[in-house]
Amino acid sequence: MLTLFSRLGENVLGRFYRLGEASILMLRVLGELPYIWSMRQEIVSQMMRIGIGSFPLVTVTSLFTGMVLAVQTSYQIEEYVPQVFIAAAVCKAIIIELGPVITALVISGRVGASITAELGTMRVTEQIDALETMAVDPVRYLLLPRITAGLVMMPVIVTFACVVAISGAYTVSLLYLKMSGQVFFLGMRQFVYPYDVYSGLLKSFIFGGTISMVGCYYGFCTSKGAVGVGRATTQSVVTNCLLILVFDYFLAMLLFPAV
Amino acid sequence: MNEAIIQLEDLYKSFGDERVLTGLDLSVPRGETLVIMGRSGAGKSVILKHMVGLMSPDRGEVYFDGHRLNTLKRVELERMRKRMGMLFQGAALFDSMSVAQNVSLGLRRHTRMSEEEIRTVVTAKLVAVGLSGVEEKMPAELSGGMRKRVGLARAIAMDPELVLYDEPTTGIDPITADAINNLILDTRRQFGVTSVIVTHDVASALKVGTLISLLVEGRIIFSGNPEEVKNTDNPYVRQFLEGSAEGPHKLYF
Repeated sequence: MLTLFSRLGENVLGRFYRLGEASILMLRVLGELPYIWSMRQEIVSQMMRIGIGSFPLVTVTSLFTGMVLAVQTSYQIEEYVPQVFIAAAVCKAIIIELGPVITALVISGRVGASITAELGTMRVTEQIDALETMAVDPVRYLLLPRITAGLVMMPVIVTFACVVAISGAYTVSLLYLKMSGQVFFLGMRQFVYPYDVYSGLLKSFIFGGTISMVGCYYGFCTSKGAVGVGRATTQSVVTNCLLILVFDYFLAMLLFPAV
Repeated sequence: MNEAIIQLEDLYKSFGDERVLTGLDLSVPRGETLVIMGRSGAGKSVILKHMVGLMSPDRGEVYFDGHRLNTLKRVELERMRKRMGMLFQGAALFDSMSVAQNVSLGLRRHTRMSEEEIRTVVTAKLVAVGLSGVEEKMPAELSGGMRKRVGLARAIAMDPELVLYDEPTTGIDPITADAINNLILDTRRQFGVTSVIVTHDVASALKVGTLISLLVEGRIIFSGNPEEVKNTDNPYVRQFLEGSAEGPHKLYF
């Protein structure tokens, strides 16, 4: 019993330790903000890597999400509501919820994991130590560009994902649900408000920051060789997925409070 | 003997229950090549990491050119680090950068040199370590010996006053190892730098060192020039030189 409590205590303390460690690291990143202009080349290169490199995967996931959403919504409520509401529900769901969340989950698997694996490998092969010995601050040189790129690119990727998903839903509505294009756009125009778009973008901005910060933290604090890199990468993806879902709930409560 | 460029006083360092350094005192005179010998896991690399400020001691002081390294602010520590270069055991080249980018990183970040000047310095440093035409290669395309050479070129790119070498000849064939020893000697001759080398390679230590210290159980138990090392009766040194399992060194399996 004592061992059980001791392990439990160790686990809880370990989590608080990691939270503190991550907070200190992120404060150090904030402290490097004045040097952001000097890191512009690295930031652009990370934006290309995080953003442009993610478009093919995001295109496929968003397209099918949009298509299946149109089919499912129609199947569930076609008998009770006019088609214009189906289009509205699909577009609204994509913009405020599925676009940001599914894209964030996909990006956490692709980009978050890649950031952790890259920084983790750099840590265990002493490349980060080498940067320090060359008087190059690794927080400024490695973390600041990745986190900035994550924050900037995520809204761009989510916007793109929403456009692709809505296109997919539109195509299915036209070809499979026999909805007219006019009805689809009428539903979208009447029921999707600018506030929905802003909310979706705010979510994507927060998710982008979360993914890159978590990815950077686990990578930067990796230890214990190749096994450590593997463990850190798994922890990074799991933590990101959990945080995205938890943050999504609290953002929904905040942005769309019950009347 | 010249004044010390780097000095370690009463240094203690533990990792969990494992005590690695136990009151270590060490002084590196300017212009000398100090070789720290010791068995694997004795804490040799830990000493180097303290010298460059990558680790802080649990107790004790590290001085670089009179500045107390372990209490310096980050900006000041970076100013000191610009005066040092370090060759890591596995070279620690940046995988995502070409050889030229690896060597030029410090120059780009800390100097206002033009692209042309940087290219000239990079080529000169690579030639100094016996490499040419590899500027555009990626580290993954290089052999172990070449990686160490590029690591050395990167370490001396900013013309440091102090170069730290972590096991420069470990894991490479004897011929390449000797070539690296020659490089270390050439670097000292050409650039007049102070060097600290940690190794358990006795032949390399005797060839490149002007001073040799032996680390045993977290302390320096012997220091002297290569002749003194060869002629000493110290049982620890004798056992190390002879590479014998019999003697005062404790064996851990």
